[in-house]
Amino acid sequence: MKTKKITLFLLILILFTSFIYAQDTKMLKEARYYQKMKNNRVHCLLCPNSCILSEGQTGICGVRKNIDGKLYSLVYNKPVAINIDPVEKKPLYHFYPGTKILSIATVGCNMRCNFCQNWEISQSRPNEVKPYNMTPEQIIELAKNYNCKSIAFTYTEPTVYYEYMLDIAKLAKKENLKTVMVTCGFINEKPFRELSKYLDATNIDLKGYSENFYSTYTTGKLQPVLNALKIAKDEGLHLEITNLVIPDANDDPNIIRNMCKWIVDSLGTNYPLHFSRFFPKYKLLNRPPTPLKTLQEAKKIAESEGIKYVYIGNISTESEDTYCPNCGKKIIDRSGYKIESIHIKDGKCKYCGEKIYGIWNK
Amino acid sequence: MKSIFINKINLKHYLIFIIYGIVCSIGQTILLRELMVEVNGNEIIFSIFLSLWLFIVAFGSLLHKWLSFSSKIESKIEILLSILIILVPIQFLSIRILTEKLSLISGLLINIPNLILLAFIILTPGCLLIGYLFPLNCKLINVEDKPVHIVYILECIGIIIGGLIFIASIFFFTNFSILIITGIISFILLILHSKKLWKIILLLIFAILLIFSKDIFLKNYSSRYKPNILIFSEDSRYGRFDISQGDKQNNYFWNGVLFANSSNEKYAEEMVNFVLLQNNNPKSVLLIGGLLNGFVEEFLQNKSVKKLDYLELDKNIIRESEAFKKNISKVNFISDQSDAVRYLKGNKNKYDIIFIDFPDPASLFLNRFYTLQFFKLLKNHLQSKNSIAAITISNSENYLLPELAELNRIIYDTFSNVFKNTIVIPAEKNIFIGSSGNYISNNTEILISRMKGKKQNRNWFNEALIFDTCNELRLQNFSRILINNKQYNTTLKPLAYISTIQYWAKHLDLDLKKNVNFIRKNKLLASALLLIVIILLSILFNRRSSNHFFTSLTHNMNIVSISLCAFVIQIILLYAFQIQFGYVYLVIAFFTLSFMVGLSAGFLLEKYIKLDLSILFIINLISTAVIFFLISFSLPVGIFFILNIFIASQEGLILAKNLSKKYKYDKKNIAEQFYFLDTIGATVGGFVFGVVFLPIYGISTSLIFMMFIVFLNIISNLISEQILQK
Repeated sequence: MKTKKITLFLLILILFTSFIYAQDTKMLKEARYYQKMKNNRVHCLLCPNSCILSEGQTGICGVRKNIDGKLYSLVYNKPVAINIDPVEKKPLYHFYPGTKILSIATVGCNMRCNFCQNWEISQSRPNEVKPYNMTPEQIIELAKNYNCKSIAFTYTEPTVYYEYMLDIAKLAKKENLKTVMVTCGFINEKPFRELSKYLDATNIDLKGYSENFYSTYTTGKLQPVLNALKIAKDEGLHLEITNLVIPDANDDPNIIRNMCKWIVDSLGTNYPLHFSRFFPKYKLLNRPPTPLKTLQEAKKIAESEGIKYVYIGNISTESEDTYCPNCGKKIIDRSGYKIESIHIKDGKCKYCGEKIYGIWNK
Repeated sequence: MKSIFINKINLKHYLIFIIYGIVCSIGQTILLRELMVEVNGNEIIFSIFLSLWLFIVAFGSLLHKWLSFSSKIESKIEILLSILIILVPIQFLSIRILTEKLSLISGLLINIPNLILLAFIILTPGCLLIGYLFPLNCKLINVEDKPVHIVYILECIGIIIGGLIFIASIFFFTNFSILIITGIISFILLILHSKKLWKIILLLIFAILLIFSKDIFLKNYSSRYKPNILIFSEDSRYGRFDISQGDKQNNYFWNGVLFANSSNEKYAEEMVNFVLLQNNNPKSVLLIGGLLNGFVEEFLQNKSVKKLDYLELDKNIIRESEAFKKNISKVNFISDQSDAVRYLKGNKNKYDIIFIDFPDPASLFLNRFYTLQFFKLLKNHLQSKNSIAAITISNSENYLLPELAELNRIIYDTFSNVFKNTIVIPAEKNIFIGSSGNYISNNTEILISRMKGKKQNRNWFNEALIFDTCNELRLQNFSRILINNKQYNTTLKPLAYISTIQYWAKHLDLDLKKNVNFIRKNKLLASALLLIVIILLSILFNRRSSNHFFTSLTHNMNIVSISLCAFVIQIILLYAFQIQFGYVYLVIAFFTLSFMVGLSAGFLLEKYIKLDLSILFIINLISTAVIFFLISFSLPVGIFFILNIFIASQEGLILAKNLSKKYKYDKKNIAEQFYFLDTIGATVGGFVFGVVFLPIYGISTSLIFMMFIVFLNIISNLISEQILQK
């Protein structure tokens, strides 16, 4: 009699747990790009971290979890930051200048940069924050309501919320909204190529040009980022490149020259390159901001290597304006995030007719 | 009392104990301070370092139990003391070298394990020696009655002298030079004790070192700013101000923490112009903070501003600013009023705009500028209905972490409780603006139209920035953090300070929020655990014989408890002083001095005061209750020092009584036992109260905890006295 009671109790308990579990996983989205392995383990194939996860384990990104032998995204429909930004802030200087962009992010990142400018969300775990609950349809609606030209997957590393980003990008294409991925480029080829079919533009953060810098400051690797840059070009995405110049970390002129050479040789001279000023953040709080002189030197190097559009960001200079590479006249006048004037017509310099790389307002 | 000091003992021995006290006090002050600068420490880190110091000293005194000398004690003490004198400057220079080894990247926050490891490696050699020397010193005069009393009093006198040397030399010498001067004084005193060639040689070496000490310090210290060059470094009564330079950019550091740089126009434009748009015609401005970030220049861009009072704690900061060098007639630089609270209390000036840009309340000193009391003070200095007060607090542009959200919420609630109308501008830092009038606004259209009307657009500050900062979604992000049950930050309940510490810990990947909530809810458990620790420590040296078991346990507990309580009350008085008067950098030295005066007085008075220990503890309980009552009032400076001396003398008296009682049944190893229990009591107090109880429970609850400990000592003493009577 006693055994029967215990059995019955256990049965109810199992049923109850399964119910709760079913409800729980129902709320989650099964991830793409993973392989099932023996003993309920899974192999995540989304990014070069290539995490192999036992049951219950979460990847380095903190947002992809093995539940009962399946990989789930813990942040689908759960953006933690939603803002309207000027597109110049991404930075994208050759992509519908002066327009508004709805910027979203979930928590998580596949790198651990100790200078992260958005560490509050990139280094947090889903259970540590209070996210919104927004489906891709609602995000599209929000962008339309606020008259945004485009949607940016930004702030943290969008690769980690790949499924959410992909579904939004697909819907946006139908609704004639543009989509932009602001990324560290730490993503595998296959998922990036699939995503690129639906994206319009990307800004890839080439954080430095040495494996040593990547391993010391970011826990990532350089080579996959270089591959991602080539894929972006190959897929015909509008591409701009950002390099955050950190004093005494990645500001060696020789390394900057090598980086620029690689860009010219592998991608060409057309893609805008932004040298951004570093500000002390997260764990690198006591490293001073990048001096203007360092940034100006980097710009000089890039221009001497042949890159046509080189900008200095996060600091006031004339280097935030766009000049025609042919006639040398100022064709976009910027003050901070504000566009004062544009002298481009049908994608060409108004003064000399030179074709200017970018996607311009009609 | 004469019998304690004179007798047959060679009076020259006393010099040794005084030298010992001098080296201990200066070494502790300078090494802990330098460690704090190196790791950018806050009050919690200071409490950890201080506890670590005391803990290693306590352990050092125990070493004597296993590693003891029986012959030529005097010469061995001289040698060990000389090693200590040489060791302290070496420890000082090692701080920088070791930090470089422990942190692979310069400018990176050091995580807590590395931070403790750094302090442990640096402090261990000197602290072990300090601890070891105390019982050895007592052994030197072991033939006498109550040698521990003598050494303890003379050590206190040494500490007092050390404190005076430090205060006298801080304005003229670098910390390293002070250590060398201390070495010179100590060797001169050692030579007076007994002339030996090696001492004279060491004295000469220290004298030569003094000539180069500033250069040695700068060479060692400037390496922390590599590859930039250190172009200015000066200690003032408030702290250390450094300027490093790289690629023509000046970077400004306060106590080792970067707080401004010379090309920060975006920050200045954004912060100042948002504030300027909130008053139609600002004529008089009081600005506190932001000088080196270019705030003064930015305010003066607005033609309506006729008078700008700028308040700064440290004159060096004013002197090094471009605004000061330009000698602008509209600007009145004020730096002698100590700080904003005292300045505002001390005059009746009225302003159209009061703008304060301080660091977050990461210390109780800074917390004063975010309290109900302070905001009321600000309000009293506003000129008219539409005058505004503006303060800033850290923001995270895209998402506020729970810890940061709580900090913002507490300060916003406190601020909006004082001002009829309050708005937030979620800029690079959140700007809270309060006013009695209705002119203030964070509506983008209104702000853009005002900016255009006043022709106030600048390179960064323009329509795009206003829209980016104050658009509907960003304002909604802020309103998400507000909740109904409002909590206010006050001087005695520093909620904002705790939130700041939690946010700081988050940078180091520490999630303190859960632990803090747990501790906050479980006061009884926390007090029980503390009590268990005290009892366990008291049992550690307890006699096993049944005759004296309880009595000995009571005496041990008395020593641990009174050391703990007196040390914590000293911290509390210092906190209260800081809350009321502001910066305490130099006052700490006076507090230590007055404490030592009280402690020595207590020891000296033991013979004349014939009160039982239980009565003394009752007096201590009443004293703690009086402090509990007085702490919420505004007290004159003198009262703080009187209370400090009074509490310290009670500690001295209770310690001396316990020692005398212990002598009656346990003479063996009494010095190391006593010193261990005394130091470990202070260690537990410094750590438990400094790191946990004071920040989480606040001053009042911490005092109640201590009254509880004192009460238990009264009971145990009463029982012990009953047992002895039987």
